[in-house]
Amino acid sequence: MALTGRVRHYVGVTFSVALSILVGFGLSSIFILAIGSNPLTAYYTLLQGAFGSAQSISETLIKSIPLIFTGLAAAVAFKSNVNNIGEEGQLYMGAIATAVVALSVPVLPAFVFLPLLLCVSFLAGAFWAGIPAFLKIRFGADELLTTLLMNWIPFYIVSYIVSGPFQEKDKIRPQTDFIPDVARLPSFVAGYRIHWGLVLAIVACVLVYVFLWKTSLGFEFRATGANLPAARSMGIKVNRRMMQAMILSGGIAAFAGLCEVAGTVGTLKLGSSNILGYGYAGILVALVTNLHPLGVILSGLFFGILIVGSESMQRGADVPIAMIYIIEAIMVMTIITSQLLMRKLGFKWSTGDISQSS
Amino acid sequence: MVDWGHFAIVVVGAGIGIAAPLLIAALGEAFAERSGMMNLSIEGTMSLGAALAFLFGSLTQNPWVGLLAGMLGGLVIGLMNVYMAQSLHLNQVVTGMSLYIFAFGLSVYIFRAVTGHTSTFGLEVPRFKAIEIPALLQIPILGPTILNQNVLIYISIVLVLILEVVMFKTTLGLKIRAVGENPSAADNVGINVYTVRYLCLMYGGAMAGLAGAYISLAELGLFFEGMTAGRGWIAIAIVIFGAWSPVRILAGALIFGVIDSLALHTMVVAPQVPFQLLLTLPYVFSIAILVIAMKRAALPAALFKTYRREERQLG
Repeated sequence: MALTGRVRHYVGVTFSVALSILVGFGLSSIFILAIGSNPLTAYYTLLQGAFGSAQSISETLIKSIPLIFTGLAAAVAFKSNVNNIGEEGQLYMGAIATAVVALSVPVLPAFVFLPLLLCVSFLAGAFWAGIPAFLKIRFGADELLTTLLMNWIPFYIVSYIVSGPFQEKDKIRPQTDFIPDVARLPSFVAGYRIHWGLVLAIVACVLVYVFLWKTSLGFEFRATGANLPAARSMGIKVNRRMMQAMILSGGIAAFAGLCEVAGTVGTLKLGSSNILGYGYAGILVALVTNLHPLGVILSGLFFGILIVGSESMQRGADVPIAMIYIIEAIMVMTIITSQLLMRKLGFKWSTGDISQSS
Repeated sequence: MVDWGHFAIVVVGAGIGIAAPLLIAALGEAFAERSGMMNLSIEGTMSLGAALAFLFGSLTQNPWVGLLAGMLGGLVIGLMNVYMAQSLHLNQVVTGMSLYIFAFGLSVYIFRAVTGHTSTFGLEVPRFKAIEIPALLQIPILGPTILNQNVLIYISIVLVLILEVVMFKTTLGLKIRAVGENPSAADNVGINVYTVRYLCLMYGGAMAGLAGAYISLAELGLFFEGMTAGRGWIAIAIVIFGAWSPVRILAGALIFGVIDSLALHTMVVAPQVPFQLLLTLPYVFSIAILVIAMKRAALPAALFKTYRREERQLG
């Protein structure tokens, strides 16, 4: 039976991604072999760490939540011709807004509290992404650099508030008090930490997919990203669309911060490393799916597996945890390269291939 | 009472030190961008350079060996970037971001694998110390604060002049600029676009590695995860501010270094200001100089565009 267009497309894409992941693990083995460890043992402990028990599956899903949000944020922006690589800072702004509001306002019923937190964190991230968007449109300052440079500022703001005005009552650790229980995203499996943030993340991806592909405004976003001069000559207000895409992207990235503070952790504290957090990984999450909002769900889960797995790889196989960055980067390179090869074989991933350079 | 004259000189002296790694990385990136290739991986490359320089410097007890190791590591990352971006025609944002994370991860990975620690716990490395030129040191006030820099700073200032000549007065510089402005036309007159871009990116990577080596061997004598703290990105901002010209980049790096140093020294004279606020200032300045520079910037026309020989316009 000859495979028809759509089926052939999905079979081809699935096959090439699976093959790229295998090749990626193969290439990563070089680094594990170089330090005298056995890659097979290492990968076994990786999978064991990510899937070994119901508890570890819950942890893997929890780690995927911020990655799906930041990945979706990157996808929306890149798709609309704005290179927002400041998801890390926007995530922190969302986390700051969530913690500050949740600890400052009087205790409200949950059905008011959670929507309020969603609004303030979205606004905080949108504001933070709006600044570089404004600087790009008004002054032509490259958003690639401005969004990135703005990542470090919220990091120091967090450092200030968790050791100053919002430090916990005991004044021992650099973190805020725990936010009230009604402001927390509840767990949806009793006994496990996995919380409603996962559902929010998946819903966000579906909504963004519908917006970009099924509405005329979404079409204008994509047209601006696919071919700016053509979009402009079609009468699309490209500057306004880029500004809106950036604001939407920043707001979505901020939800990752909301889910960390109101969901997973319950308090705002300074991450041990701001240098390569969920924000940066999110860019890779988006790139490997060729900027597809629904694909982000899968790649977010995949990166979640890698993160949880590499923690157990360090414990179980003595492979330094920094291996996660190496694997992540190699996976992006192999998947992107496979898109290139696929195109030569006559497959197309979707409109506007990210692997392709301008 | 603060002695403001002395304060100003101390600020400038420290500012030169802050400017040095930014200058070195920017001098490399300027050539890459002039040839039409954006190398976004230099933040990670600097981290790799810093780690390799520390490890090899510490093993051999010779900082020059460390320096060389850092540069070689950077060169390899630059080579990987130009291979993927130019030979495979992959998107330069994709290759830059993934190599940034790759090189950053590799630096921490190697360091941990070799030493068993994530920071320089109990390890010593010979550092590039300030050269004390007696004649200069005798100059009152300025001598001991500004004119006692380490050898790498003197080398990079000489390098600025050499690179300015290479960029604007030699055939090589002309070729590089031609390739960055119009690769098709350059190819038609017989310039090998690929060779020029490979050379520029490998050189740019090596300079980013050198900048990292500067941080671990001259500035801190340490290595730890995240020690480059965004300075690779600030260097890219300085390239734009310096309009892709070595001498202007030197000026840009110095202005940035002094302003940054002023912010840091404010901690000493005004301890009531939260130090975190002062630590955000380098990033705020970088954004400000980008905004100022972009009003008059003339980007290399082919920047970010891969070159496909088969699509060139003959004529």
